[in-house]
Amino acid sequence: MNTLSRYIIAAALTLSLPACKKYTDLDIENPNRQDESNYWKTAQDALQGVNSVYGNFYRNGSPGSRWTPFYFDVRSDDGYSTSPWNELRSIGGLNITQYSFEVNIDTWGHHYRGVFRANQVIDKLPGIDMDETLKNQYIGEAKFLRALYYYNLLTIFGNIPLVLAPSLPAEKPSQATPDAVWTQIETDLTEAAAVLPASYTGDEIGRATKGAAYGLLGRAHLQQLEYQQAADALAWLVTGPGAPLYDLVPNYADNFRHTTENNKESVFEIQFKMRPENGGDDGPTSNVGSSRPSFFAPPGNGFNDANMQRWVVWEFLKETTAGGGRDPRLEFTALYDSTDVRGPDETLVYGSTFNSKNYDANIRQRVWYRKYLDDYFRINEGEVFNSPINFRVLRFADVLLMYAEALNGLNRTADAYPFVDRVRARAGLAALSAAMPGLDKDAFLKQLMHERITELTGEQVRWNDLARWGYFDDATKLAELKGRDSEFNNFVIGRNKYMPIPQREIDINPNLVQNPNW
Amino acid sequence: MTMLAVHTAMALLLSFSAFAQQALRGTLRSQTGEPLAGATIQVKGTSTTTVSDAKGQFNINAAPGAVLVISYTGFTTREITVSGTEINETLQVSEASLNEVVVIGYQSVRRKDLTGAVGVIDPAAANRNMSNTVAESFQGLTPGVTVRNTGTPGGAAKVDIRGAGTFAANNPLYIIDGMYSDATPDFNPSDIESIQILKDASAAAIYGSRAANGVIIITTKKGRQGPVQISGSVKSGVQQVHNRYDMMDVNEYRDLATRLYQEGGIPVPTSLTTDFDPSINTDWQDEFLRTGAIGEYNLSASGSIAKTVNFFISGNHFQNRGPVIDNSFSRSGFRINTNAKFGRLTIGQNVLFSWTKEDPIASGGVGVNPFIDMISMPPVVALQDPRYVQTENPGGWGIGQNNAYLNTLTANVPALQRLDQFEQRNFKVRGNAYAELRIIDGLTYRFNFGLEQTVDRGDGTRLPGTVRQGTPSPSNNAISTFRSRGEFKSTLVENTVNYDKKFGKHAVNAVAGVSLQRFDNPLFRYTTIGGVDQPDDPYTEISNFVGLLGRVNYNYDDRYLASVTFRRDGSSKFGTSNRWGNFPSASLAWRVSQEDFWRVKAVNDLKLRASYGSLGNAEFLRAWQYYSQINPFPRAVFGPNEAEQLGGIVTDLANANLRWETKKTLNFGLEASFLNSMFSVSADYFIAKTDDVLVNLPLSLTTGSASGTSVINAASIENKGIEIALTFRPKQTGDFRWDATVNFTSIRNKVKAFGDPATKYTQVGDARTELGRSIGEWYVLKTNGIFQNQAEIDAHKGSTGDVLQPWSQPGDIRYVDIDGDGVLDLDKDRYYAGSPWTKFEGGLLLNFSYKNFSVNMQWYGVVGNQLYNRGRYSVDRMDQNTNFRDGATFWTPQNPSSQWPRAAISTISDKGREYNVLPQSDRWLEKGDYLRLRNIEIGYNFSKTTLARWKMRDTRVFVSGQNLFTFTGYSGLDPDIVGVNIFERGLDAGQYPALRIVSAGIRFGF
Repeated sequence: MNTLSRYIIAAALTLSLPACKKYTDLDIENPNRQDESNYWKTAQDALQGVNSVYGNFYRNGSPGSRWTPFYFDVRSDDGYSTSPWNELRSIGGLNITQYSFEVNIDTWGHHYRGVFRANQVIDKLPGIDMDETLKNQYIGEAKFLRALYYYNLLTIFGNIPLVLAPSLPAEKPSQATPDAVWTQIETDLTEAAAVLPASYTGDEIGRATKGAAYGLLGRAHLQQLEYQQAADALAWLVTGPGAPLYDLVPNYADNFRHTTENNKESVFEIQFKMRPENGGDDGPTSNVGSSRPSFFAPPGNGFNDANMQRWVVWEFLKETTAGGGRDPRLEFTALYDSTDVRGPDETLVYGSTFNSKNYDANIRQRVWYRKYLDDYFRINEGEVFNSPINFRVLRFADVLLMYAEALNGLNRTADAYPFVDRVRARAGLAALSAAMPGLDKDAFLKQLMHERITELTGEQVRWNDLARWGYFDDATKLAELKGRDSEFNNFVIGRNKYMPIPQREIDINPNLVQNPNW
Repeated sequence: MTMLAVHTAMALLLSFSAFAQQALRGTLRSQTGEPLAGATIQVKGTSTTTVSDAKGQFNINAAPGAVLVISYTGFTTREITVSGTEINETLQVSEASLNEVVVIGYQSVRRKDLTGAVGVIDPAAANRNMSNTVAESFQGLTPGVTVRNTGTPGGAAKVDIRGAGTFAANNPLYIIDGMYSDATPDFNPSDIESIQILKDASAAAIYGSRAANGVIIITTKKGRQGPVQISGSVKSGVQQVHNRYDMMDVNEYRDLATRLYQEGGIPVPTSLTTDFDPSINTDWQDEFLRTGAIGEYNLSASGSIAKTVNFFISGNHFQNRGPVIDNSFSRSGFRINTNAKFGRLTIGQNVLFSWTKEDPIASGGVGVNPFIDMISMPPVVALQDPRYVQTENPGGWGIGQNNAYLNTLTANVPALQRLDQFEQRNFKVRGNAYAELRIIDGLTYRFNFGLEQTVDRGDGTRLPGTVRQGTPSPSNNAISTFRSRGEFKSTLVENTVNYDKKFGKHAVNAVAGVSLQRFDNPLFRYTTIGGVDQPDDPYTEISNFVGLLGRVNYNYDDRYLASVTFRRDGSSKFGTSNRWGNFPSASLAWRVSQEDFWRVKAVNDLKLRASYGSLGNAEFLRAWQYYSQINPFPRAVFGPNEAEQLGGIVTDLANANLRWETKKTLNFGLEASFLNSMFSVSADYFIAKTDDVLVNLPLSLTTGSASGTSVINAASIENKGIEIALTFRPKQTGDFRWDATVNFTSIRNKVKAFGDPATKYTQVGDARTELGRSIGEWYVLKTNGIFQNQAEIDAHKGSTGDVLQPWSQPGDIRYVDIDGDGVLDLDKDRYYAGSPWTKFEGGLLLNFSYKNFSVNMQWYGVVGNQLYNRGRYSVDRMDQNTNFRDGATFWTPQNPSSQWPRAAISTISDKGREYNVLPQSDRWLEKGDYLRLRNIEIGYNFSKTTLARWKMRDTRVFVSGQNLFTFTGYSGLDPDIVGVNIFERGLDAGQYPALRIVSAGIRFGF
């Protein structure tokens, strides 16, 4: 038996010893994912890094995606919500009580995801040994994107933490002053404008350009009523070196279709693509389309969570084209019983006539935002969460109107006329210099307000326009909004200009202070 | 216990011998003189056995000097050396349970020598339940062990041993024949020989870092010397969701919904008016649920070959046609256990081959919750109708139309069950092989190799079709398929040395060794949409554990017992500097009743125990969580061709300093039996403190980390508890016998500290986990009735004198200004409205027998917890087009109510109405108390004589009912729920309820 036992012991040891290394190794290499410590080494890493910042655009709360239109359009006086989802309706209703509901959380959180990614690129790329021009371009793109995220965060939430370095899990930052955030936005955009190329070709089209940086910088300055700086920045696109690159496209509708993307009018677009699968965030089959249209389409085709106020339609009808016709932009701005000027028997809703839809009396009265709907090609189909239509964050028509507003702010009203005329001309309207010559500064601004409604409604600029024009700080002006949108009866000066910070964030981060009066 | 009644029929057939034998006569009586019928008498070391008759008499052939082993259930087994031809024996009521050998991990000890807290489950009692998993079968059988059903066919039960010591990974470790494993549904409960549950640190310490949540040691049946024995059982029955909501029929619904629309000032859908069709009266619960069937079949053989190799072979099939349409589970298993002894060497192996197949409930899709949608869907919606046919709904399944006809956001879950087909098939081999060598007397070396390997295959098809208004048919209305292929491999290599020696009154029993385990789990997924392959993310998870272990048990004269354990563990789941942890423990016991001075006759056994020890836990972690990884998937689209460019960046933040979670337990125990063991009691009191609890805690979203949470050593939790088990076994006389066991558990958990001193609480949903309080207490608004008139609204003022709810109208809910600041604030005016944790839980086992009939009952109850009823919230809010509960109404001036507030279906904001349906209010909380007849079994045991005639043994027929009666005030489907995560432990979010099973069966042996 001793022999047998020796065999057994020998066998046991033989079995266990070679296995030992495999079994006792506590430092196992990860075959699936790279570790941060062996990343950020090559030009490829740098490129992938900056791509990932753009990749964050496809999340629901990101700029131009599912939820921001509720903040910038539906919340404003040109929109209202009939959503059966109380909390979603409360954004437009200006009476939010659930500060931590999904939409407010996602809007806050998904913007900061973009900031986090941009911060990684800005922090890590300087250490990579690669082509310096390309490296600077990537860093410039990240700075542009960070500025875009902060512009939205600042104008939605007002008092926000300014995070500028890659985060650590336990970080609980305090809020920065709005001034400090504006300064950072300006710095980022100025630095980006210095290094970004004026344009791209082929598969690189869609990256941030010099013009995009100047355009957003102009928007940021204008929002602060810094007219000279705004004009200086915007001039690059309008009259400066960038002018040859930009123009208005002849067909207004081409700004809202997936077949005419990245055209000459486009200054910066979020690139959406329809892929069949759309599962999860940042996974192998994640959505790269826009889920906006499902929420904006009329009943039967979508959730109908958003409606346009009917007064916007009247605003269009205030003026006819030079030829006496209806402003052609109305048809592409509003979907309602008379989107086709001939009325509900001719108006098509996703391919079926308005009258053939089984709408009840209440629904027949509604007007829907038409821009970015897939109604022109999804004939008799429901809406989808993966729409291919790029969202135009900034287009040249807006640049022209902003430039005019800046010049007017600098008391150069006469100089401002031609830029408004360019926008009106495309719509077939008479030149303003002919129709309303010699307006004074205030009257010109008033006219600009009208021009921005007819040109830009539904493009996520209205809320900030109203903020810039002082409608949220002045009871008289506020009364005007109440007249157009009864939801503004819930508006409290000193409170509703900004959304409440999600309570979840305040629960976790004791350094955060809730916005005033929420 | 079955081992005590052995070999009857065989003995009668085979009672011959080559030795010179003599006929022996005997009579067996109890202490009280009753004849003992059915006792087994065996000639030791042979297969010669017989059974006593009704007069307690028996005849057997045995040579002088041979030893007779006389065994009888409930009595101490006696061994008698044959010296004459007549034997008269009196058997003592057994203290057998004390001499029972208990497996404590790498060693076994007599139960009476235990120094730690160990629960022993009677497999016979566990086996009375028809269960998916072993764990589910022992609900209520032992104190300190809380088992919650998942109900789901194929679903694992949730087991908490001594409460929630940690936030997340609270599952105990399973040791199956020495192999580290987890709660798997592949296991055949009737293969089980014994189940022991190690509850305190000292008992579990030998398993170190794996054991913080307790250890369940399962030993499967082994072959024995002797002739081949065949056993089998067949059970079959029906299964149902035992409770349903009483919902409105189409006319009642139409009436209430119409009034709600009118109240809301929007047009009433034409499905309720001009297009109303009373013949559509869909009972969605009927469409979703069905009567399930359940069947279980076992056959096993055990014996020995050439008196050297013992074997146990079993085959098993379990079939569960679930109580929900398109929902089923089946399991087939085949087991071979063998062991053989060659002098100093013992070798053996245990192996299970198991095949499982599960067709789960489909829950894919936005906002779909099957058990809630089945009550929410209005009865006016047809299950299927040509009216609903559209491009995206080719099957014409009834869903909201978002038009004048019909609006509802409820999903058609019976349709989803049909459109979304998924089947999970697993094949598993689990087993171990060992060799034990007795080196010198008392010193044994053991090599143990364990393996668990599975092949997991998931196959699914999603047919085109939307099942919910506004939610597009997935994959752009194309057919999609999903396949997953996983292989899980866990390998265990152990070398241990045992030493067992007595020196006079001193006995030492020790073990030392090394345990290595490796987990390797590759997973592949393949998705196609419209026949086109989609990108994949294959992922392999690998981790290693290294354990050095040692324990010494010391026993002086059966009076003083001590045990010291040490374990040092290393895990690859931690970063370099935090990989190793040391986990020592010690325990003492004193058998007072063995002392000479002990004179209390009524107390025939008394033992006091105390232990203290620490255990580690890293189960919560996945591999490589201690560093931030580069996510390769955030791609970007550019250019006219919409090229997708690759990304690669950190999307989720990791904590680099993760370290072992450590649980320190102090335990005091007492065991006593009285009046010749008529009463026995076992009681334990413990204080367990877990430090550095590993959990995903929410991060500030300003970090930009995508998941919004990250694993962190977050907190310290304390659990204090008391566990008591009482057994009463009266003197067994006459034909009527009975016994009863009551167990009782009360555990409180409390958060003692958070890792980040700035953190005072963490809020998940409507439950808050705050320093100094229990995990996940409900933190909600306090309602205080309904305003019946404007005067009451005006009178409801805060401390500042302002009206608190100026927006309210008569019929609205009155909320309490908890913080008294004069303003009603949805976040600040919350209070702790109850705990999801029970104050007490208890089980009662009752066994009765009269002659050959027996009745066994198992009761289980809990007291003191609060549940959030999400199902009721969904249908009682009445601001959306859902079905409503029978009797539901809403407040109007003409029809005031003190229970139902004002409500309406509307698109117009009305703050008063919106406040009536706030989810964060105590309106949706309910008491979770219940008392349940978990199981009742009525059986008939064929008498030994009858069986002998049939050449059978141990045969029994029975009928049983599971979850037949539940006494509870809870209005949901089932109060026995586990919540959705530990922070929302009391949230009934439409979980699968525990099921009622009525079955009949037979157990037999040859």
